[in-house]
Amino acid sequence: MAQPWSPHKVQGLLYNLAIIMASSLYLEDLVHRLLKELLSTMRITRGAFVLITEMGKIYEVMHEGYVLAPEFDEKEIKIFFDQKKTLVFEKLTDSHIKNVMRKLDANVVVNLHTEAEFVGLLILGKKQAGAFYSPYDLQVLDILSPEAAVAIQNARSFEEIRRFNITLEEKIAKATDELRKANVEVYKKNVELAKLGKRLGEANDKLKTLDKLKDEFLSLASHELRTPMTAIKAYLWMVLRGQGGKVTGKQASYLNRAYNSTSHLITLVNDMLDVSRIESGRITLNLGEIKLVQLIDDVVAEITPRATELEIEIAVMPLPSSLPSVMGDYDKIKEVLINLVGNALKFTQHQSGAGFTPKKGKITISFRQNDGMVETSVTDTGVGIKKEDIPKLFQKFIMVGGSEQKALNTQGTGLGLYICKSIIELHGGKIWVKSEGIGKGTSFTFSCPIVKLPS
Amino acid sequence: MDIFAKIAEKIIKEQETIIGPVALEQAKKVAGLKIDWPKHVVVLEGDKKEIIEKLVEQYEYLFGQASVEVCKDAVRGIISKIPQDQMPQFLQ
Repeated sequence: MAQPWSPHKVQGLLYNLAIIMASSLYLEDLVHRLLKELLSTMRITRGAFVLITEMGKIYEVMHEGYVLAPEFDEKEIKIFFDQKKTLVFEKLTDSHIKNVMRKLDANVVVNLHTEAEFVGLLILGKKQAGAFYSPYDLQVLDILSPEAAVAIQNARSFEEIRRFNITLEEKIAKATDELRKANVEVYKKNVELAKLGKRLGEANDKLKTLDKLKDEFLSLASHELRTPMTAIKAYLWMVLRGQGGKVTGKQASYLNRAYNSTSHLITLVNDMLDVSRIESGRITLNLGEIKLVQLIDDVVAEITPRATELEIEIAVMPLPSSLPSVMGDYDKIKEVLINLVGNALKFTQHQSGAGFTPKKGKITISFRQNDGMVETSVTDTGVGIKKEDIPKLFQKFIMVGGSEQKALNTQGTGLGLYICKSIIELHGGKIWVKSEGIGKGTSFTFSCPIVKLPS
Repeated sequence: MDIFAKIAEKIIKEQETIIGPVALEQAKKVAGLKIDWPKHVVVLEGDKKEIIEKLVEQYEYLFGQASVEVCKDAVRGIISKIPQDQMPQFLQ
């Protein structure tokens, strides 16, 4: 037999419910403990908390006393959402609500509201032994509902944070794991690279040693070659001049060829010696002030006989009065200028029939001051250069152009422009070339730094 | 120089060729290992065998087994100087 309600018993129940709400942070634990306490103390057969989301959807149903898990239709239970008071089946007059409650086998429906939002419903079934819900029961439920709503809301928030934390921890663990795997892969690649780097370093050291040996050999061989070659050339010259007796026309022709080949060989040896010195860093510059007027006079004097022979005009543009002197090694800069004018002479000839006949061409030497440098240009009206050949021009042993250019350059070594570039760069200058194409002439320009006067 | 300090130095140096300054950063996290890297001075305070093992584990945690192999390679030349009962786990 159920004990009748007494103020003491009501207080005891409310106290127990308050303890449960204060001590349970986990939603499931909170709801089930509240239900159990309510059902056992109020002697109710079954009950369920239907938790609703902000969007009015069922979030979770937690129940006690049901044989089978109760199912609530979202659309049906919406009818309870706007009810401010606790609904008791026996006291209802609205037949629609009564029908829904009958369908749900619910005797009491309590709305759970916080101040800000609707949290859900507490749906309670029949009381044991066919008893009715007393005013005390309803009073307890009225007192409980706002407190339970806040407690459930807190527990839900806690649950969401907990779930979020778990998800976050899982994501961090996954990302850390992926990062570690990536680290391991990068490390393995780095190990391979380090091994490769070590091997390359060793190979590079070997190459450096070999390169040094090659330079030494080249320097020695070239030096040793030059002396006998010069002697051979001198003796050939003497024979050609008839100092060893009369020379027939045929002999003179053969000797001329030998003499020219010897000259070419000496030029090649000299160029190779220059390259060897440049590449091994053994070249030294005898720096000083270079007066361009004197430089041009020397170069023109040296080049004029050959230009006259080829009927090519050498024109020197008037030097601007303000043009300053440049800083450099006089002999080396002169070598560069002679090389460029020599090339211009070579490529301003015109091939015709069996040999070369001079074509009246022109070579112009000009100067301009630009950005702390003096730029010297040698421009010819010769065969020109294809655009695609221009980048190759300053490489070692490269002779560009078609058969015409190659035929004009039989005496070339393919080292001249490489040497020019190296010398100019040693001076801190640049060298470049422009040509509009085949038959449109060529213009080589190099720059040298201006002499800086002490301030 | 203490053989364990030599081992630590060789390991850090070898790791440095692969992962750069990270090698030193990780080594500095090992308790008992005092490093003055510009001078290549390494001092071990405490159980030296354990410190070396922790140094290797530090790299292994981040870079896996490949880093242990690199540590082994780094000390291959001086392994014979380590007393058998003091041999770090990764070298056994």
